[in-house]
Amino acid sequence: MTGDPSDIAGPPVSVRDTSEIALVDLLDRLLAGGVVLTGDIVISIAEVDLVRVSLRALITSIQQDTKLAGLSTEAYE
Amino acid sequence: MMAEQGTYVYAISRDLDPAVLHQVSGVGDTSVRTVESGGLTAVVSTVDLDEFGEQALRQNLENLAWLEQTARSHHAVAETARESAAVTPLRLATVYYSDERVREMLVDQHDAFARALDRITGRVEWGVKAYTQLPDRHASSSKEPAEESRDSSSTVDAESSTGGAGAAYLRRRREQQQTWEQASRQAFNQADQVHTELRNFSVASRLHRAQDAGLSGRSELMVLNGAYLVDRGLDQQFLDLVREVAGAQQGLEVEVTGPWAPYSFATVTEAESEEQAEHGRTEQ
Repeated sequence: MTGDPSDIAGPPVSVRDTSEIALVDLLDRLLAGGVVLTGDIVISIAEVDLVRVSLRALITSIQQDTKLAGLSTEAYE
Repeated sequence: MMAEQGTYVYAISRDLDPAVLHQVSGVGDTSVRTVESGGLTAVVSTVDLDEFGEQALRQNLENLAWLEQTARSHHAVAETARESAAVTPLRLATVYYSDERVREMLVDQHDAFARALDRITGRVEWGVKAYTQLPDRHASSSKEPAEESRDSSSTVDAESSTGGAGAAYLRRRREQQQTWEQASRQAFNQADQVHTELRNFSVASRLHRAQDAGLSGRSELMVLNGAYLVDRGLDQQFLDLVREVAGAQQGLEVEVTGPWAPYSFATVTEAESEEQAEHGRTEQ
């Protein structure tokens, strides 16, 4: 594969190894990109903004972590 | 009782060798196979509707652990398929009731997929993100109100000094705000220059929304989240160009991801994709 990360070393540009892809970069592509087909199941989900869904998932998980840690959730409001 | 099942579709391809899919496992730890019709190949898995049915999906998509696992599996399958042939990946969680329904879709959408595959064959997507560290928007402004209330014991003095301190405080806030706005405007201009150069080099480009800081884990302001479709043979030239144009922009930190399967350019309806590109732009 061309474009080996070591080919482009040194600031200010960094190239991340594809094997450890950040979830957020993946969601940019899998939720906001990709062919959008109206599948049989997805019909009503297509109306939902999936990027927002993913953000809600993150916020929910932060709140759960916070509760587990016994902290106030107000800090995240 | 057996759970109802559906067919999850990852990607569409033309000349895919199904053998490459044997070693990869799909969403929900399923095996991956192909469904063919009219010269097109859909890469699919059989999934339980308990997990991928409408109700289940609504809940599961809000579960970050599930979302991450499913996204990574979807991506792994698309990457594996890409080793054999050009693929147009589908959006996450596209599910049909049966293989027969997938075949109908392949026939209905044949020409659109053929065009999409022509557009991306021999090309890869690179992601380029740029960040900037802005000056603090409301730096050290929290002291003033405390001083104000401490002085309020001597009424006459307090009134005049509060007025003076208040005006100074507001002036400082305004200056901070202006500095911040100037810096952010400059950073967006720099990002625009980077994007313009990369766009001119690429076959196609698309701007994604700036990532939420909570998801990216970066405190800096994201001023560019671009995707660029590049001919495979020109990968190194593209990366060199990124380094060159980014190096010319002081204070801008640039990060490259890829090469990706061309998710951002896998679109079947032209009008819609252009709208999305415009949309992404204004969101910036």
